[in-house]
Amino acid sequence: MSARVPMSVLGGFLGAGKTTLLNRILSGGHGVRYAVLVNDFGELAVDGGLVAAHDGETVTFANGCVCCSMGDDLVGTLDRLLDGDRPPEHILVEASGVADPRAIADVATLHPGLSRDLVVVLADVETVRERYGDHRLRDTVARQLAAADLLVLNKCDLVAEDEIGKVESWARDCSRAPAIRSIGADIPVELLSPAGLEVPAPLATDESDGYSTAAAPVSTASAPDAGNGASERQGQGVRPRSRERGRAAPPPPPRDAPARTTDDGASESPASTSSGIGRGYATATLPPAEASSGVHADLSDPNVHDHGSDHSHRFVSRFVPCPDPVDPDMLRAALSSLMPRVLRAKGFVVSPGGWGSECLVVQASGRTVDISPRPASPERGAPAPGITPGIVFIGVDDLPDPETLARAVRNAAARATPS
Amino acid sequence: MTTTIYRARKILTMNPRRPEATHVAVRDGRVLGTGALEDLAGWGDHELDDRFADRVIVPGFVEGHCHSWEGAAWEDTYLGFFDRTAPDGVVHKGLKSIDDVVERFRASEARNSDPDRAAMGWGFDPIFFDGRRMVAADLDRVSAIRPVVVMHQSGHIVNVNSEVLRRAGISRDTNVQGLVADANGDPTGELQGPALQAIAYRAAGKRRFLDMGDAGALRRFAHSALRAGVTTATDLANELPEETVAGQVAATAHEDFPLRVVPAFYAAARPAAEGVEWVKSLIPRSHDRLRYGLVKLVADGSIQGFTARMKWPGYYNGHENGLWYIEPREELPCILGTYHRAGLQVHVHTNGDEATEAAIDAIEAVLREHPASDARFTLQHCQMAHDAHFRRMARLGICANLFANHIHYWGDQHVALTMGRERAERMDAAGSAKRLGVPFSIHSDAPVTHLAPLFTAWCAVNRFTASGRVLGPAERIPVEDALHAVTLGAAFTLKLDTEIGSLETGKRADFAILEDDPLAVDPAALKDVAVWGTVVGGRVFPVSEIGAAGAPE
Repeated sequence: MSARVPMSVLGGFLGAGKTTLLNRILSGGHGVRYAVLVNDFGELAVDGGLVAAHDGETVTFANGCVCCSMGDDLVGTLDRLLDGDRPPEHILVEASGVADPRAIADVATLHPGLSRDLVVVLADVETVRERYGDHRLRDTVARQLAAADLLVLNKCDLVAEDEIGKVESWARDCSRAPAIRSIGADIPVELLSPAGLEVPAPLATDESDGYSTAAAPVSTASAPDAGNGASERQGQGVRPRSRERGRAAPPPPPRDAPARTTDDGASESPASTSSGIGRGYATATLPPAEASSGVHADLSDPNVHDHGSDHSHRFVSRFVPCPDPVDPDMLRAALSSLMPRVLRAKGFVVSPGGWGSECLVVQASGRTVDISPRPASPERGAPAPGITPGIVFIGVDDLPDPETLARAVRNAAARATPS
Repeated sequence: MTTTIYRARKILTMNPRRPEATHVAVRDGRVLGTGALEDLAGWGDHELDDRFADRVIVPGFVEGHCHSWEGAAWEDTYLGFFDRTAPDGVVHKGLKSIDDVVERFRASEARNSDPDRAAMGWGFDPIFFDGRRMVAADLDRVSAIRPVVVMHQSGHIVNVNSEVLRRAGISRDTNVQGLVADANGDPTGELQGPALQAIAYRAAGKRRFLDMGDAGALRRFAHSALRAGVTTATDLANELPEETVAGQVAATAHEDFPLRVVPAFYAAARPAAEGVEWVKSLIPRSHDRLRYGLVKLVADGSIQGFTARMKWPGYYNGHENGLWYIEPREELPCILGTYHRAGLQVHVHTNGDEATEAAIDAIEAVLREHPASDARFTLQHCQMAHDAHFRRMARLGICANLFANHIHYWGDQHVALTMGRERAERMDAAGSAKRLGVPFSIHSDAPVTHLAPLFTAWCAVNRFTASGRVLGPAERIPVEDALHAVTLGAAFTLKLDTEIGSLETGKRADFAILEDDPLAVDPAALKDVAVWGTVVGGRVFPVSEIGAAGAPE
């Protein structure tokens, strides 16, 4: 049985930046093979050297992504994609400006070949509150914001800081979803797709790059309180994909930026859509999508970025190691309680039966948590050297603190009895 | 070059200079003229045809808003509350309880020999069953093995049996919108969300929308029209993919196809710029019985489905406001404008008054940018427009096609649930449209309600609800106006009034042949005037020969 393909929904009114984001996905070197479903090719940059093939209803891009027009038949279009020779790694459906994105995401919940991923709603900070003031649009705007798992406040370069703050506080009243700021809809691919985070087959360790320090996602620019000798915990079993598949692993973090590891053993790595926030290496480990603009270059100035005044909001990932067997039901409940401040979680943990036969793959996003067993390869009865079972949590500034995350995982582990 | 002069008991022409006549002369499928025999003799040699001597001829009815799905729907089992005549003439009695529905469905499916085929029903409307809802166990009595799917009359809800739930993997753990659960938390089989319905159809091995270009379905559509005296009917709207277009072109190619079909392109099917090119490419494929070029947009949902966009104070029962199908402020004028600039005529579906107002705003904006004195934008349904809307429509040249059948079928529910009495009294306000100078037609939206312009006219004339109450007597219109609405009025909204809609020199010889004079019968009996058949382009199509050897099959 092939794995379910994650499907996320991109909502937002006309002019919110959906097309900009889609163009970036279809042209970028993010390493994830997306299928993007749209109503209208018209706005997309489908010409030029980026297009590998165009057969009327489907455009194939040089980076392996495809874009399809879905007309009025979403399920039929999805079936064709999934039955094709090369099913996508992630499906992104563009919702029309007035559609309820949740109703579209429900298709992914129900479809046997799909898993529901995030509902990402873009809002134009310049106009969203004015639209909300239009009596014809008010409830539609509210419905859309309430449907979001992740809210992207876009076009932050066009609006003064205090106005952005007002929009943020207004958005908190409309939606439980965490909100991030963006310019040019430039949001990190890790937020969009779990395929942007590789969970290696835990027992298949013959990949040369392994999962050790070379892939270190855990790095931070500001970790004065680190230092319980946990930097060797870097390079856990889950890592962000490098910008291009097969590319050499990114450089290790510089010495002055050790990973922060809490007393609970959780490590965290803030990053940003701004390439500067990680002082060089963050770009490599947690790359923004393509096409840094001049604005980004300015923001990358270290003097500008780190008081929350940069318009490109942070996202944060934290790794929680989980060496002990867990009870899947307990873990599912624990993760559910952390959503939606935890936008996405992914990893693998030890099943109650121990490492002997299987491990549990954990995937959570938005409103769904999936914990399913993955069989061990028959010739290997033990976890590979260098792999630490655990879970990467991704969120934005309000991601629960490392201790909370670690406690949730620990509580699930405590009830299980290893055989 | 044969000239035929038909003699009739009476001919109602819709030509104001000679509204009544006894004879009509026909040559080459067109009307040479109407009058007394001696008025027409000057056209030369002719054959006098007496077969309508005891009957009344009126212009063939024009149904300005129905769907070719009327023909496809009858492949499935009709499960509605009201009596309904199928295209083959069989009267399906209305079903007054859920047990009746199950029994009808069982009997119908007993004839089905293919064990893998899903059992499909339509027209079910639990609004009449005092709160009792259908559950999966009911439909398990139809079949416990095959998928069973029932589409509600509203088109927004389906019921399925346990087998469909099983195949679709829908259980108490399924967390999506619109999954109706019982007290124990288990799904009842009623699916209210679009995603649930799409997945249920998929699990049943059915496409949600049938192939509208199917020749058999189009013939059945034409037969439903013929039974009602309709000679021109819209298919409003259709995505018109090539295979459907090819089917329509083929099915209507022969002169024995008894209907002129006017498909409207459903604008949501393609981006507007592409849609313009597609519709323009279809226009040359038009012929006498098939006319492309019309475009339809859908602004909101339906009132009884609580998806129409309502102005303050919203739904009477407090239901949250409905849905925009097109963003009203920027996208609606943008799409409208794209088609308008290309010279294509656009009809806009608006049910709630907020949608109607937004559509008028959009049209006004488009006309300000690209003035056109005769674009004939038409608001379809336009069920809740009030006087101020009609005044603006009159000044902007916007037509209305009002859903008069709604008054009868759902008028009581509109009073009780959706609008309350005052607004329900002005629903489908033909009286106001006439008084304020808005060109208007009235329609059935078949298969949503049954295709029968005389019934639709009866609704506009009497405004009787299903319970027998007169809803909004001030909006009643005289029979003459109602007949105008279903002939020349509808033709006007389609820009076909130079060709059809009245009987006068040069127009197509399209007649409805009636057994009685609709102006002479008691207006309360207008719906009971029997239809003998039609004449389309001079060819005679008796209802009695539908399905008979040599008849248009």
